[in-house]
Order: sequence, then C-alpha cells, then structure tokens
Amino acid sequence: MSETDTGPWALEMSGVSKHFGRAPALDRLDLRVPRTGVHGFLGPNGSGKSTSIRAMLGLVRVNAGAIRIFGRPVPAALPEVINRVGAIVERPRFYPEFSGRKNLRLLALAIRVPATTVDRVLDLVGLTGSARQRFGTYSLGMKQRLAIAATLLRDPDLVILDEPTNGLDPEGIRDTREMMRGLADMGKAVLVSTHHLGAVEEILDTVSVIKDGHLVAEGRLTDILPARARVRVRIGAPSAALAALRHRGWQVTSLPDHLEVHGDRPDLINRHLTEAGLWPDEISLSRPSLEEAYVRLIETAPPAAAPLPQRIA
Amino acid sequence: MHLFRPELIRLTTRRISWISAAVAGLLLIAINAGTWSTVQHAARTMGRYAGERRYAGVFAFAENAGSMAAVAGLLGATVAYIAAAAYQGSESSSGALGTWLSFVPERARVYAAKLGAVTLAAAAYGTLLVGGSLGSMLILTLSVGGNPAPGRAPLYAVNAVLYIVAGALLGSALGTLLRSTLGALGAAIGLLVLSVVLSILPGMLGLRTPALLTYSLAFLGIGDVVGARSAAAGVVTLLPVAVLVAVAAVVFCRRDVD
Repeated sequence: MSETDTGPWALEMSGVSKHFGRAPALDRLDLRVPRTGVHGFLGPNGSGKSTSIRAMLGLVRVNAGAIRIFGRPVPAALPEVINRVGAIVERPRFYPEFSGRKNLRLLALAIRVPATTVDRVLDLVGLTGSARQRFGTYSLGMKQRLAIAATLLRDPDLVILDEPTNGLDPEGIRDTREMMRGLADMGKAVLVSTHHLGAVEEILDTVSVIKDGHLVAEGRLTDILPARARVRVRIGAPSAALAALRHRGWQVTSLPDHLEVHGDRPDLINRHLTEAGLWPDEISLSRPSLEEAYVRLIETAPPAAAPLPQRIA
Repeated sequence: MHLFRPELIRLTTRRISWISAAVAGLLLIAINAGTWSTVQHAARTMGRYAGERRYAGVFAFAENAGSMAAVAGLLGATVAYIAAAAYQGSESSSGALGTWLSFVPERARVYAAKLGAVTLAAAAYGTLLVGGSLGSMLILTLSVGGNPAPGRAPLYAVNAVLYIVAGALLGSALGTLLRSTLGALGAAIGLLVLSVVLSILPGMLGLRTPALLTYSLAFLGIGDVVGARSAAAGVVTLLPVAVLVAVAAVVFCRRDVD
C-alpha cells in the first residue's frame, strides 16, 4: 500500500469536465466513493454516468479536473492501481467469435491471473454450462454475467459496475444484488451505476446523483430518503389540523382527502394534533421509494454545478 | 510477453485469419501445380525434338524464382492485410477494445503487443508461403535437370516475406485508424486504385519517373525500375507503411475509446 493510500475514498473525482466537441458531457463533476460499501451512481439517460466511468478507467481524457483511485492520479498512475480495480462499462463487449471461456482466458493471460480463476468466476456467475458457446450467441443476461465474471478475475478492491442488472431475470438480479452486497461485506468498494433503482435500493449504503454532468446530491441513503418521507393524516377537521401543524413548524400540504406532512415522525404529529384537541382518523408514514425520491431530486435539481449542502460524512 | 501471447492467440485463431491463409495457400499450391505441369510437359516435348528423354534447358531456378516469390508475396500480402485489418478493426467495432483497455490501460504496451503479434504471424506465414513456393520451384528444376543456381532468389525471397509483413502492418494500421474491418478493406481498394492511377500518370505526362506502385512491384522482383536498386524500392515500399504504423500508434494511445 502506497503512502497516499490512506484516505477514506476508493475513488475521487474533483471538478471533472469533459466535452465531446461542443457538447458538454461532464460539468465540474465531484464524486467520492467510500472505500467500503455499495455506492449507487444514479442519473437519467445522458447525464454522464458512463462517461464518468470511462474517465475513471482512462478510456476517455477529461478536459479539466482530477481523478484519483486509492489516492493515485488517473490516468497517469492507473497502471499502478488497475490490479485493484474490476470494471465493466455499459453493455458488456467481448470478442463475439470466441467462447465465453476463451474471452476470459485471454483476459486472464493479459492480466497474469491463473487459468483456474477463470473456471472459478464462471462458476460464481452460473455460466459454466455455457462457457463453450460463442459470446456472439449469448443472451443479454449471459453477457452481463460474463462481464461480472471478468470484473472478479483479479479479486479487486474496487468494483465498478455499469448497469449490471440489464437483461437479467429476477433470479439474476437477486444473485447480482447478493454478489454486490457480499463484496461490500468483505470490505470492498462497489460502485454501481444503474437506472434499475428498485433492483439495488436495498443494498445501497451511499449514493451520488448526477444530472447534466454534475452532482446534484450525495450522501448516505438513510440521509437522503427520510427527507422525502411523508406522514399521511386523515382527519375530520383538516383546516384546523393544517393550522395547528403549521403553527408547530410542520411543512404541510393539503390534498383533497388528507393532509401530507413532510417528515417521518407520525408519533410527534399525532401528539401535536391531540394537544390541539384534534384526533386524526388515520395517520400513517409513507416512505417513498428511492425511485420516487430520485425522480423528485432530478426534477428539482439546479441546472448547473453548485456547492452541495449535504456531503457524505 | 503477458500481453503478446493473448494477442497472438487471438490473431491466429480468428476464423478469418486461418480461412484466408488457407485460401491463399491453396491458390499457391494450384499455381505451383500448374507450373509443374507446364514445365514438365515442355521439358518432355522439347526433349523429344532434341532426341532426349527431357530437355534440361527449359527451366532455370534463378530465372523463375523471382516470379514465384512475387506471386507468393502478393497473395500473402493480400491475406495478411485482410487478416490484420479484421483483427484490429473488429476489436474497435465490436467494442471489445474498450473492455480490454479497462483491464490493461497501458496503451503503448498493448499496441506494441498487437504489432508484435501481427509481425510475427505475418513473418511466419510469409516464410512458409514463400519458402514453400521456392522450394517447390527448386525441386521442379532438379526434376527436369535444370540449373539450380539460386542467383538472386534469396533476395527475392526475403523481399517477398518483407512485403507480406508490410501488408499485415498496413492492414493493422488502417484497421486501427478506421476502427472497422470494412473501412480498412475499402481503404485498400482505394489505395490500389490510386496506385494504379499514379503509376499510369507519369507515362501519360511524358515523365519517366516511376510511381509508388512500380517501385513496390520492383521490390518484389516484378518488372524493372530504371535506375532504382532494390534498397531504394524497399524504402519507397516500406517507409509509407512505417509512417502509417507510427500514426496509428499515436492515435491508438490518445484516442477516446467509446
């Protein structure tokens, strides 16, 4: 481990910008991935997620900013740290004329990994039976599995997965999710870029949300979601309840058949109402899914890069 | 070495590589067989007129080695170009190059390994092709009692192998630059047409200056270039290839990979 390999981050991007011609792909992007845990990298189509990942791996040159992996600058020192990184960018692409096993064996030769490791990772992803088929004949799910197998060849400390659940059936999604969680539980860092939020929501420790090439939110998942929690209140005197709760400092939205209170404390809301002499007919906590929180975040995000009030601690 | 081996394996086990190599080999065998048949028949026919079993003066190795080496060189260079262009171009067009570089980011070493694989495979294939053709000619010469003296045959053989290696490197460079097998093949056709036009142009303009194609063929022992020696023909043939390879190397190392 080098002298710089003592920070808390497996990966850092600072003020990274990238243009393809006149089109900006990344706009002063800041990103930090902790050394352990599953870090979600979320954003709509065309937001710059795959470009960011390609920049991390030295596949594209950025126009400004700095990238560091385990404290080492990328791409200058990428060969020094690449042995600790396993990554697949976007759709998995291998040599279509060769079998899955041969594709991995060629990689294993190049990265000086024993041939026996190939059979082990193929078994891990459930591709042993299909290993002799040409990659060009694989289904999308099989291609995804082979890509995941490739990332595990070196037993990396940082695993970067771009849309790993694309094309997988529910069992495959579950297996991939368990694999990512298992890697994180072993002390590795997993960066997963995905649109399939429902598939990974329950395993994410931290997230970064990107829009138009810049960061719009970053933090622990438990920090981001509760801010979007709502308490639903059905009550016979909605106007009085609205006034009482607002008097207590609650942010309340009046809807046709109920009140929606921003927060995650139904017990406190109930007490404030009863102290005001009001008794709700129904009070329930609604914790929106990551998808709802994410969509709301994207819709309200500022158009350009700006300092974030909330960062990963 | 750890980068060179997988590149060599990939190049030599691709279907297009060994199919095109086999086709060229079979063509050359057919040409050799035709030559054998023709020469043997001529030797017997002329021998009858001379009252001998066969006529020993019908075939001299040194006089015919150049032509056979040139045929082997042209066929081999075509095959080498196609195989190398497909090897490089398909890696980009399939996206597999991005996957490869995400595991092995040292682009200069990766490209050097690819060039090494292309050069070694082309040299080995060229040696087999040219050596087999000339060996066949030598046996034919001996069988009809002709003169087996090599003359300039060794030079033609070496030039033919170099020509095949140059063809492979040219295909590799254009496959890298154009990122597509079809693009590289199209470029080859375009280069050929341009070379023919440029070869005709000096004559049409009343100039005696030989063009690139003429030098290139002279390097293979086809035709003659007034005032040009084999070394000059070699430089004119190989230098553009070297320049393109260098340009392709720079582009490979610096280009964004999508």
